[in-house]
Amino acid sequence: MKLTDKQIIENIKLGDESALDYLYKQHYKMMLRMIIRNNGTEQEALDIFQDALIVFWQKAMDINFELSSKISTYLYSVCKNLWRKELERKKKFEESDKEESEYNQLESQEMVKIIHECINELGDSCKQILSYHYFDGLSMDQIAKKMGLANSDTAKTKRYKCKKRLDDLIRTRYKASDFLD
Amino acid sequence: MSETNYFRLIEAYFEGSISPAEKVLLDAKINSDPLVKAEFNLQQNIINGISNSRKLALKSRLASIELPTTTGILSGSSVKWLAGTVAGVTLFGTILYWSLISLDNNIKPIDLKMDQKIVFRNETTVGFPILMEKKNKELKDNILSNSQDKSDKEGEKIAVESSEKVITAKVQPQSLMSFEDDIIFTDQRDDDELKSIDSRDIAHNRADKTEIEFLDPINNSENFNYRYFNSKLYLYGDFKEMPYQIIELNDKGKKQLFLSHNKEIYIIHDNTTEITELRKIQDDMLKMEIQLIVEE
Repeated sequence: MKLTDKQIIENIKLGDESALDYLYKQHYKMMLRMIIRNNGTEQEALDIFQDALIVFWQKAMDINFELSSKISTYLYSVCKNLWRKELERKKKFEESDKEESEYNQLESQEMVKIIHECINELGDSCKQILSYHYFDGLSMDQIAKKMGLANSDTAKTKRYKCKKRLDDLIRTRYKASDFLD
Repeated sequence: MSETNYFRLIEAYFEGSISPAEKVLLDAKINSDPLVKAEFNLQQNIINGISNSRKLALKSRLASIELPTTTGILSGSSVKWLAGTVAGVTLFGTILYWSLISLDNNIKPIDLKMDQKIVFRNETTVGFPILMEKKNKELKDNILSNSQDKSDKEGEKIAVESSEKVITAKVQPQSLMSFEDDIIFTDQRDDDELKSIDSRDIAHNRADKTEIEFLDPINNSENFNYRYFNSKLYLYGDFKEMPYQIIELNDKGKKQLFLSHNKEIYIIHDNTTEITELRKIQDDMLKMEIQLIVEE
């Protein structure tokens, strides 16, 4: 079934992830052509397009979001900018002191790894509520409806408890002072 | 204010509920107190971690979608259309002709940079050249009689060539390379990358120039018509002196010309010796991609 741009945005606002699947299938050829034409590999192209769709997802979730062009045009521009940044990053990496940059990267990767492990230790409902709140930017009311909770207050309490649990888990492995420069 | 309160402010900051006055207070504390700064960084990393976790989940969802494996130029509907065009031209032409073209093109690497210049021979003309009615009439008569009497072909050729001096323009097709930092791209290429691009990529790569001649509409029709022969393009119609561009897609030596005019994209078939109506592209994806190239 063919969806209009308006329908796609409405679906995203409702948190329907299949809208992303639809856009992915619909436009991947064009994005791939653009990136491959500009020295990218097929895998890089898919990766960039997935990132572009996630950027679009977050934008579309915003209450104030207004689309001033076709979704395909918007995605094309985002892909182009992301690919340009990726090329700049590659170029900088080639020019930089690789040993120092690899050391800094390892240190930051270690921190990210610990945080990621702690997030995975949370239950699915905790992960969901924190994601919906901090990434998707959904209101407590929307979260309550989406997760089948009694009301926004219940969602708020659950969100608070989940965040506290995550903080405690991370603090058992890291103290804030470990992040001192 | 106690340190605990600063932690509360950090939480309010990431919740988006901090007031401007509190934010000023927090900023000052972050700059002066390393422990508060470290707590702020920790919270920042936690929020980023939550976001990354969600991004990963969405990305893995997308990555699990099965897509057709062939993603090169020869896989899309636009490509099928291009392939059809090429097949038609092949039938119309000769095997020898394509062998020569392909031999010629195989040795050329893809040129990712190309400029477009539109230079009218008549410098006083802006946009489309103003036509000389008399010459056009003679020319049109010659062309129209062409289909009826093949022996007139030589005469037609002479008529076409004689009118060139007044109303022709030279166009180099625009590059498909779309970013400003073309040089970065070419610098970053290595041989392996180039091979993979050569095998499936498309690019503008015509070294020669397409000569264009503008003529009056056929029978005062509002449609646009054309003939394309020997790298010379004859355009018939009232183009209202609006800007236009000729774009060429080049895939493994198979070239396809397009005319962009007034937000429409028309296809131009090679070796179209008869006057033919310019057809708009129906493939939305191809049309949009060419329009994006034109806009860049």
